[in-house]
Amino acid sequence: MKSIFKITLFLAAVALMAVLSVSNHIATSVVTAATADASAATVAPTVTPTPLPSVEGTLTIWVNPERQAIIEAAGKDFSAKYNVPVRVQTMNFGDIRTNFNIAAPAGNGPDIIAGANDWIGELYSNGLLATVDLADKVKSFDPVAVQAFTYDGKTVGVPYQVEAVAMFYNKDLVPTPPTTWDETQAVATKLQADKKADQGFAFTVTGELYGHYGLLTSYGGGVFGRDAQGGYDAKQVIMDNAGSIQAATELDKLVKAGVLKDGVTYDVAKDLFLKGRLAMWVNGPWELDNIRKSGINFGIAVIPAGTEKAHPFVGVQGFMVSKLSKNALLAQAFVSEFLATDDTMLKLYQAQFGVPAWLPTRTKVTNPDIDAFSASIANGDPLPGIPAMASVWTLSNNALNLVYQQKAAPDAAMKDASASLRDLIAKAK
Amino acid sequence: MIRFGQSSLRALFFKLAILAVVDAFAIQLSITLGTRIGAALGIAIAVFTIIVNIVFLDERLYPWRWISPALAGMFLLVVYPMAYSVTVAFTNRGDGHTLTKQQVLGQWEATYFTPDNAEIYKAYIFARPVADPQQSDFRFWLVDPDGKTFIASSDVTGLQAVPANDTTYGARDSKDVPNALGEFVRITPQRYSTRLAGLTIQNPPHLIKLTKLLLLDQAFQAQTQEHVYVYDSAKNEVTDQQTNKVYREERGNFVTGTGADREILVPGFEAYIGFDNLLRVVLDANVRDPFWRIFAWTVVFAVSTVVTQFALGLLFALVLNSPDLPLRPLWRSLLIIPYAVPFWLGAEVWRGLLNPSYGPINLMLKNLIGISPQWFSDPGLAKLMILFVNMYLGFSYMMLISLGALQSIPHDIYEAAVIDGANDIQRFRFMTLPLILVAVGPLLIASFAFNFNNFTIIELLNNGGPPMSAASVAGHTDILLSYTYRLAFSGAQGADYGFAAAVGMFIFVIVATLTFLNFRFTGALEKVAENG
Repeated sequence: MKSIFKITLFLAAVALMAVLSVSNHIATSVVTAATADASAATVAPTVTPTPLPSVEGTLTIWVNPERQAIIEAAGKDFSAKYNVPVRVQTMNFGDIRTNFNIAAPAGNGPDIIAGANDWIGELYSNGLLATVDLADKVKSFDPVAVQAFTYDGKTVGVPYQVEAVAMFYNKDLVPTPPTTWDETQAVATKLQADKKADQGFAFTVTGELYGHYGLLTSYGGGVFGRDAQGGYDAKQVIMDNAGSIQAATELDKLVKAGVLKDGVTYDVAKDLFLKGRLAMWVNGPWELDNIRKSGINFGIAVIPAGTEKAHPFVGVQGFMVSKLSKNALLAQAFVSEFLATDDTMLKLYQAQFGVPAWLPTRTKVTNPDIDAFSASIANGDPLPGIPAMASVWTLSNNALNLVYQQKAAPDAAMKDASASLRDLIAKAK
Repeated sequence: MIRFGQSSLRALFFKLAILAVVDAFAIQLSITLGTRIGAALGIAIAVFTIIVNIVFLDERLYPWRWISPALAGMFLLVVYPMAYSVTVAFTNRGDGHTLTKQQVLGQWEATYFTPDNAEIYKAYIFARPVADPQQSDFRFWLVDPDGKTFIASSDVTGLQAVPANDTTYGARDSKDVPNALGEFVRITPQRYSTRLAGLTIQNPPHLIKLTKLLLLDQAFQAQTQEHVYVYDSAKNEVTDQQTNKVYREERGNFVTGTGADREILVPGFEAYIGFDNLLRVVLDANVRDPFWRIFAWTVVFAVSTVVTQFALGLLFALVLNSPDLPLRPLWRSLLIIPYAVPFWLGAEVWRGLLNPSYGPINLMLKNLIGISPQWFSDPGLAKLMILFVNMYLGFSYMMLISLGALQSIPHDIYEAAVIDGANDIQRFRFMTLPLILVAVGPLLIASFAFNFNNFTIIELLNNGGPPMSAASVAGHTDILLSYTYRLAFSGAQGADYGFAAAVGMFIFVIVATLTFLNFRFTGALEKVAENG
């Protein structure tokens, strides 16, 4: 008797809980469906669980918090004009990449993401990026930006902001910036000898390829050669061509001359520059605010030349459309017809400082810093987005560090790193 | 002990309420994980839930009650992840191989190309008004570049030409597009773009697809399209209609040609690749050669860290334990600071202090004795530096537990020892140390296990540097875990989880062996305790 009572009670409890947990699911789908069908042109409230997935008839966009306001505003305009609800979800810039990679194949991805061009290879080879037809508008974009957003001959997004490192210099210490590495060495050595600066010159971070790429290319070196379409070709590793080795030898010379030093991390270099103890620093527009605040009398020049102009890495940010989006055509129209307009591009620029990829906006804004960085970008190479880049960072940093630490001859370091890189690429599945 | 079932109705109710809450969570977990990760996991959780319920309801299974939740937890948090990792080790999962074959074939199915003689139309959309907008069907009004107009539908083959002077469809707008096609009314295209994009107009020998949404025109662009890929499921081959190349399946890719002509279709998909990942750990010289050096350093690192942390901690504990020490609480508080300050902050501070070019320690050493040790670029010094910093970060904890252990040693045995004529060193060596080790031994072993996988300190202090050579991703201070991390995320294809899981299996074997030895060691300590 007692046991029957117990079991009945228990079954009732389990049934109750099952109903509760299932009804939770039903409630979620009802809300989702309601959101999708909301005919009113409003930005739907974010009631569904995170991260917001692509829903038919509603555009879902993942952006970083810095861009949330402007994209939400653009979304409202779009909704009002075309009667399509737009939902904006924010997450940290780097998380967009990770979450998109996980959520999209599972069907939980958004329609559009804000991203950087160096993600493209990974996302595209994972089958997650749709092509975007820019048609005639392609002429209105900085060619480097379009190239950076082109993969395998296809345009895979709408670029909107371009950035590259240039050379910040302290005008009180260096009245006219040096234009060659020899001049740089002379100026830096003199400043250090006269005790006017602790360090005359520094790259963004000691021994990291990103900042040193300008040096490599200024002697005709680099990382990857280009294919017929101008894209990077992982089969052509040029990190040990004559130019790259000459650049590494120049690096070795600068280290031996005491101009470049081991252990100058980003924080150390920044601290020195802001205190006026570092005269020239290769870095990007993201440090402008800090440098302005410090009151240093600074200028921005292009990176010194070797046997040719330096080509820094150009990073490009923009919007990409998910191939697994339920609204692919709508999303493509949103980015190519709505975002790629004078009005939206200007608003994007006003919301977040950076060199606009949309040339009409770049001509329109008057800002000497934009002009200075544009000059550096004009010479730049797109930051490679091909998946092989993942193996480049560690190996190239090892090679550069060994030169800084004087533990390897410059040519041996570059050759070793390149040989391993070729080996890894050949073995890639 | 409370025995719910037999005591009272209220206790029974209480028990069932708790069980129901647990079940609710379990059902939720089973549904969520079952649908998101894999049906097997969902079913396993459900089965465990049922077993736990039976065990708790049946008085005869009383002894199993308190062990069953532990077993369930062990399955979910240990056995399942382990089995999962082992499965992954035999796959090519990683960047370029995240989708399933089905998804990839689906993508290719939906890939079209525009043939040379393609017609381009502007397509206006009309829908039959029905109560549920999701159910409506569509008609297209196509306008070709010459201005000729057609009516088309996805369920009728061919286009129906509409002459320019036709008046069947009534009023037209400024672009000469009718407002309605019979009962079908003009709609704004964007709301239906998903279903519209999926529709195909059969116009032999070609297809017409909507290829682009023209927001400003409130229309679509429609084009003659052809499938790029045709999949032959019997042969498991994909044919590219444009190039006539035939792609065969190979390790999670469709490939054609060999050697230099080898071409791969992107994206690839997840597939089982057998022992390739495991063999690579053994056969690839760039992976294997650093492996044993790194293993040796990992052991040295973990053992030395425990020994140095414990030695310094015990030393301070002995000093603090002495009743003659003035201001004891002050010293104790100060010595706890390294442990109280966040771990990464301490590491960052030491990184700055030891900076070879601008760190205060090196500037001081240079001024005083003219040397500037390269803490980050000399392999030996880098190892010493990491051991020193890790000792600094961890000794407070050892000091705290040693202080506790010291309190528990009875004073009278020391009095007896003094009477027996034992000196300070003998009393420490033969009494304090063994008795403390009995108490803190398991903690030392736990600390060893923790440091064996102390990825954070390695990554924070020197990223595993200095590099062993430019040819390898390995650094002189890398431990097995950080080395695995570098291998997994520095592949030429991006992240390579399959390979990382394979390296993980090797590490598991090593750690399991060491743990077994540790248990033997603990057993030895218990014997000391029995003898003591």
